[in-house]
Amino acid sequence: MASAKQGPLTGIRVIDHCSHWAGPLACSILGGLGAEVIKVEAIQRYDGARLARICFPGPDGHEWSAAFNGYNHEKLGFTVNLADKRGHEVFMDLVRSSDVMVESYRPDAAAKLGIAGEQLLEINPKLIYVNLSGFGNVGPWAGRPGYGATFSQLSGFSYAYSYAGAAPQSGGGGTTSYSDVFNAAVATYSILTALRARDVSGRGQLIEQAQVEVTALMGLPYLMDYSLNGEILQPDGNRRPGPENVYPCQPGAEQAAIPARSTATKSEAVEQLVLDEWIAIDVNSDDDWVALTKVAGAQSFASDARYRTLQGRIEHRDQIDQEIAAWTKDQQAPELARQLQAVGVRAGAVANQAQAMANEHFHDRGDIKLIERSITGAHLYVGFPFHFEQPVTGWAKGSPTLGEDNNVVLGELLGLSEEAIAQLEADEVVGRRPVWHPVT
Amino acid sequence: MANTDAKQLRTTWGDAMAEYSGPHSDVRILEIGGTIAGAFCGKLLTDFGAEVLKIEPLAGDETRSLAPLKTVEKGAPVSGMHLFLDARKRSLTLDVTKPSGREIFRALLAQFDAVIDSRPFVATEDDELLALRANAAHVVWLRITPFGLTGPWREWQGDDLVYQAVAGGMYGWGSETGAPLRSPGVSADFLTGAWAAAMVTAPLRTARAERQGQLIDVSQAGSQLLPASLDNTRFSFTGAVSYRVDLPFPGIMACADGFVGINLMTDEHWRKFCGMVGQDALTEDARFSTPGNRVHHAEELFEIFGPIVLSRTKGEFFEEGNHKRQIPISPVSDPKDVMESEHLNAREYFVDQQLPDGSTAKVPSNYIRMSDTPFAPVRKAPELGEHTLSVLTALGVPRVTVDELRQEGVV
Repeated sequence: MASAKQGPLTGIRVIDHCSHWAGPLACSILGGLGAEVIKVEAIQRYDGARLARICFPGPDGHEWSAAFNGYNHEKLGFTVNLADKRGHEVFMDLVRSSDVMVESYRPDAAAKLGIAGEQLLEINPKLIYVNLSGFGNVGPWAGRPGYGATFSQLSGFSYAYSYAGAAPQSGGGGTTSYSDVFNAAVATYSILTALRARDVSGRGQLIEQAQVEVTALMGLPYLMDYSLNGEILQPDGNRRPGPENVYPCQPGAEQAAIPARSTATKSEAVEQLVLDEWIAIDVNSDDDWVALTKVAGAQSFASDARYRTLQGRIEHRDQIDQEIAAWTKDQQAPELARQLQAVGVRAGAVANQAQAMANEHFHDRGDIKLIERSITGAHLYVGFPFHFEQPVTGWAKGSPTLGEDNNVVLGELLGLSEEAIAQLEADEVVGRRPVWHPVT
Repeated sequence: MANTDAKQLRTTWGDAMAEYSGPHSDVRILEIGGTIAGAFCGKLLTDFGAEVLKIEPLAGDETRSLAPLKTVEKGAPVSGMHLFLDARKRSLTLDVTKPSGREIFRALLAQFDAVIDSRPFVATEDDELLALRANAAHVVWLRITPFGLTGPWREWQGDDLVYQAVAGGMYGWGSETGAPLRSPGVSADFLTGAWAAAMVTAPLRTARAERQGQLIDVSQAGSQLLPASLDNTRFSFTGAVSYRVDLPFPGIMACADGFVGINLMTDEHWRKFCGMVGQDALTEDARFSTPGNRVHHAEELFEIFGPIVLSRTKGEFFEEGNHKRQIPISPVSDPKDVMESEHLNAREYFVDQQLPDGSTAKVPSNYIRMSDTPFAPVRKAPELGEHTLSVLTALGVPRVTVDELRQEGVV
């Protein structure tokens, strides 16, 4: 039996029948708040996230995806083939006893499987049914294909992702990461809002989240400038007046102590690079500037009278950026950040992943922590980063392996006999080994 | 100070909320601190009916001066961020650093369900405002701070850029030849605000009479670990640091009238795209047979596809590629394209909001769509201190005392 959970969502059952990132992360957060979350996949087709960022390819490659393993904590792993009649019946039984279902099908695909929102609300009127799609179910673009990159580009968000005067950047996934995770956060809020509504009305409902509409909000300053002034604001990289920017520091100055990894981790030769180092600095007021100049000491910009006012710093912003960069390039980023923070200037070393995952502050808060899962063992993950005075479960149970909790779901939750479960396994209606191998 | 009941206070406020009833119409929230994250958190709650009272310093919250600004004939320039973030809320000016200001806050607290508190970090044991929880056991108190209430960096300050910088993801974002590039706009602030809205809503499911007080600690920096988690988890598994990489193809490319995202996520997308631009032969070319091979030969692919993409328009790619052939490619829309988008406008995503001078501007709305409980209609953002007198009067503060408080600079 699943261990007792703690938090404001205890007693709430959630079906996570979505893929990739936004939906699964939202469900994982609900699990951290105490909900019982059942991740529904199929051995014929599992969550596409298992195919992304596979760290170690091979027969178990779908269990070594950084994308899947990082965003599916606090769930029971269940596989069922919805195209099979018995599988469909089992799923419907689960729907009858559930409070929330999240899926990410395109508008007609769920209806074909007989699991569209309207169909499921008929058998369980208390269900809160969430559809996460690119463009929603109505409007000229309804049903068009879309991933994080697509919504980011169509929402104006990618337009803003650029260095001054350069083309919009597509490298590395800054906008797509934020698009997905912001959509997860808004979906989580929507589900909790619908639960509050249901607590009063007794009724479930449909939630339709068009990710392009949510992502667009993060580019709000650009949209509002056009709305208010008819102006199309030009992106300027990390820069804001102040000055605020990212400045180069001494490469490889302070190597993070990389924490020991579990022996379950397969070894891989890691290419050794001399990694560059950067510091983010935000001067937000004239007082901040004075504080910064004290740390900078003998630097000529520190005593330059032209820079004492915001207006002066905006006028000479290119010059200031050059002078600050000339100063920071010989400094160690973490140490400089500490010095600036000590005098009240907002600053932080730009952490590479090794440094971020070793950050003592995040470790101290449990925002980064070791989580154990079967097959892959214990690794450091981003932890549940929200802290409640009345305890919540947070993220303790690692992301489920494919079909890991089939027996719990079929036996304990749905009351099937051992023989019935064995038959479903024999007929590949449920299972633990994929029969789908899209990557060869 | 008279202990007026909540119903009377609501009647006194009257107007906008009375006509709309939503899932959070029974919830009353004090919002203090004036950060974008805190204001966005309050905005999401008021979008579904919560009554949000902003407690602003006498100079006003920072949201009122955020760019972009619009110059108006009378009064201070209007902030576009403020219009959006503070719509439907009420505004009380109150100096809570003064004892008489805290006393008013304490009286308000008794009638409210939650506090969205994004004031700068103060150690919990030294926080005179937070200490008022002792007399308000039902209150869900959300603290949004830069680095959280605990941990060695708890006193550190930050902003959108700094929070992204420390989380690990940003290091691998942007161009190989440039600095790490943060996710744009108000990414970090809005992300924190949305998570905060979810966290404060969860305990509000318990009815006020049975509710156990809660202190929820949401940190801006910690919230940014979630979008950084892909690369951070990958590091954890492989020990490899993700570095910035320029990949000329696929990705965002220049086309005849701007930029287009050539997003090819699968082999199927690759084959369909080759078909679309008349390059079917490439699907048989061993150099490009797998995603890994295509990354390896990205320069050659760019030489082939660069001129082809440059000869066609955004519209052609969207209609022929995305719509007809079901490849997830799309135009890179600028702010004008977005606000004129036929799709978003058909869905009534942008609605008119009133400005202080009586004119209107389009703002995003309806970004959460629920079949049974619609999104609240947009209303104007409050003038600074617009509700000071009505809120204090409803609390039972006599007019003459209000005048005294005003002279003392408390309200």
